[in-house]
Amino acid sequence: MRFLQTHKKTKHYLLAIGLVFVIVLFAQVLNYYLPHTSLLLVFLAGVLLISAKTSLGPALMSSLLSFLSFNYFFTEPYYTFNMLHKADIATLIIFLMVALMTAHLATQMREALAKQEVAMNRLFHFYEFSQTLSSAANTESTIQILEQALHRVLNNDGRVIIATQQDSRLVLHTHEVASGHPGEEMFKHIFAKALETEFWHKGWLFFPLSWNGKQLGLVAINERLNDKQIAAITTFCQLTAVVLHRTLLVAELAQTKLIAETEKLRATLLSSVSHDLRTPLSSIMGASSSLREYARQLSATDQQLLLQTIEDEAHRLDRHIQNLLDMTRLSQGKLNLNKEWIDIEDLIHGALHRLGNQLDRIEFTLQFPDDMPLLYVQGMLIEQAIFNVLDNAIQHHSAKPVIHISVQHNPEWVTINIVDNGPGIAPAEKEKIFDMFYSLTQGDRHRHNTTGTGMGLAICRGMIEAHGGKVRALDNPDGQGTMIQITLPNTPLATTNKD
Amino acid sequence: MPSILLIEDEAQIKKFLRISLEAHQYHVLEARLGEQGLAILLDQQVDLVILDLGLPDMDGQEVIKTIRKWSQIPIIVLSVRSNEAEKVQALDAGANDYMTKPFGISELMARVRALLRISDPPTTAGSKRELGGLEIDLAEYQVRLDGQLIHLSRKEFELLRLLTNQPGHILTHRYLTQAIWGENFADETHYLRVLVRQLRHKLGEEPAQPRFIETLQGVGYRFKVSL
Repeated sequence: MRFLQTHKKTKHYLLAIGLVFVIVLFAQVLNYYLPHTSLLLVFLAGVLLISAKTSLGPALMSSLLSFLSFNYFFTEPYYTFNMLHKADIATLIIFLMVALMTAHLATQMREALAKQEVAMNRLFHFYEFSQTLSSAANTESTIQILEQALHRVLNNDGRVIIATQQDSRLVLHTHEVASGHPGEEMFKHIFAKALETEFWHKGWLFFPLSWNGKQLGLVAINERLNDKQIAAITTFCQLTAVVLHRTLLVAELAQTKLIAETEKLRATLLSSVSHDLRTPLSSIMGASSSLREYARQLSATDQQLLLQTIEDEAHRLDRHIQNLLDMTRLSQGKLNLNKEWIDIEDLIHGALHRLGNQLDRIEFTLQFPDDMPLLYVQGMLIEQAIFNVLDNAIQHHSAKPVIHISVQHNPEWVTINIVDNGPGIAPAEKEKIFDMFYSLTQGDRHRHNTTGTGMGLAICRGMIEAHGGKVRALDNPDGQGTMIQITLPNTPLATTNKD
Repeated sequence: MPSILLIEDEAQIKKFLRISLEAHQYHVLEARLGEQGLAILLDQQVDLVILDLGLPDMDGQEVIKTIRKWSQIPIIVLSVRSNEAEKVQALDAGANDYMTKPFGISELMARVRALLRISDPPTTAGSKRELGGLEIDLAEYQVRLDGQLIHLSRKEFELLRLLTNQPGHILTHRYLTQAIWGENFADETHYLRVLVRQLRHKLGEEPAQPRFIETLQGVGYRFKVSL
């Protein structure tokens, strides 16, 4: 760099000498047509040109050279540095003064222009930098943009380490593999000082990334920097701090929102659970206390009715508790599948059996293929899933439900279709009914004439998905109602039946 | 009057069981701890044990094993839901049946009756059995369903024989597989699943309300007895 500059300076001096030489030749020609004093104007033009194009040194030299050459070539006695006429002496002295003044003014103007250009350049860099920054979505990309900008300012391969405060601890962003750069401890130490301007420490220059008095991070650079570079880096750091602050705010907002959602879910869950547990309990308490207090006034039929209530409500309570247990197991992801070979017919029959007394008011049709494969699943869970679908279909049906269960299979999947003739499900809700949060928040609205918790289908989906299967709600292909389609992988049997 | 030993630490459950059992003319002996129960068994005439698996002093499984060292008395186990492994373990240790809490008293009474009846006279002795419309001739390898002769394969016949050996008793998957295919196939329960399905089809079972073979998911099978 320095070598290049010296080279440029020499070139400027050579240019000055060359130009004076050319002017001398040119003036020799002009001398035939003009009075010799007028030739000084040509020399002055040369000085002006040199001062405009180069710096003060070459300009001064060209003035002096012009003065000497004019004296040597164009004043009597010719080809000596003596002068005969007093007028010539005066003219030359005035020329020298004017030339020097011109050189001075012109170089000053040129320098001012150059300075302005540098300032414009810097301004442009800042503008470009803030443009790129505004597109940064997170801390990572912000830091990356800052790093690139810093390397442009440094020119050399100066080392840069940036630290930002994340979740109340400092995170270092560096590509280097340790060795020789300030460690986390030093950053913490400097960070604790809450710097306002740059700060030297053990060969590293630290710049604060802070905005509105809030410290967000630090930048460390191990290079000697001039004032301009420090000013530029300070500006970059300030701009970055603003953006960092913004991304932090965005992240904080998202976090707050998440907490609020979770809180809402928890509150809904709690109110739903306590509602679901209390309703059967109040029936049980009411019926049993009625029996105890008024047994004598009640007819035998009424007594039986109350007793029936107690039993039914106890069963309902038991179902809710089972649902809660299942849900807890699913949400904790602690479902250790204990798979074995299971006959689908067995599963469906188990699920139907669990419906107990309700079986009497339902009409069932079943359709199984002759070559139905075995499933490799945890029987209890799939039985629970099928039971939940059946239970849901019955709970949402006021009249006599007709339920058709059929099984289909191909080499990859086994499909169990459970079709009811109930009220059906609106297209917009077909996916949502499997959503735990939806069932919980919407539960009460649908529940006025049912006894379900609304968790059943969400649990069903959880259990089927744990086995690598899928559950969907479709329209009944043969008329009014819903078809719940359970698809499970068809696991190939290693050996054939030995009979 | 048959006497029943109730080993259970929950006072409320013990109370309603005692009231119901006494209403059915059973003599009830109560124990809150496993050790107490074992002591009563050694000391007094008992015909059936109802045992809660979750006892404060010792594991219910241990109680079953200890009883089985010197007695073949029928044992009904009470356990909480969603623990199939525990039920299977208890059945393999020698329990005859289980009830899942919460349960209805009528179901328990039916099980008690079934187990007491079986343990009393050996109804399944001899070469012919008749169970709710099913006639089995062990000597002739013949099975009639409602008077109609049905054809069973050797393994199907063997399965039916095992199930009807002890009607009302639960037979675990492992036990059945081992008995039909042998020790080496004890874990290959899919053979059993297919065999049970075939037998059920031949017996014309309704999946929703089976007449003969009842599935206990994750545990095993039981031949239903008219209760």
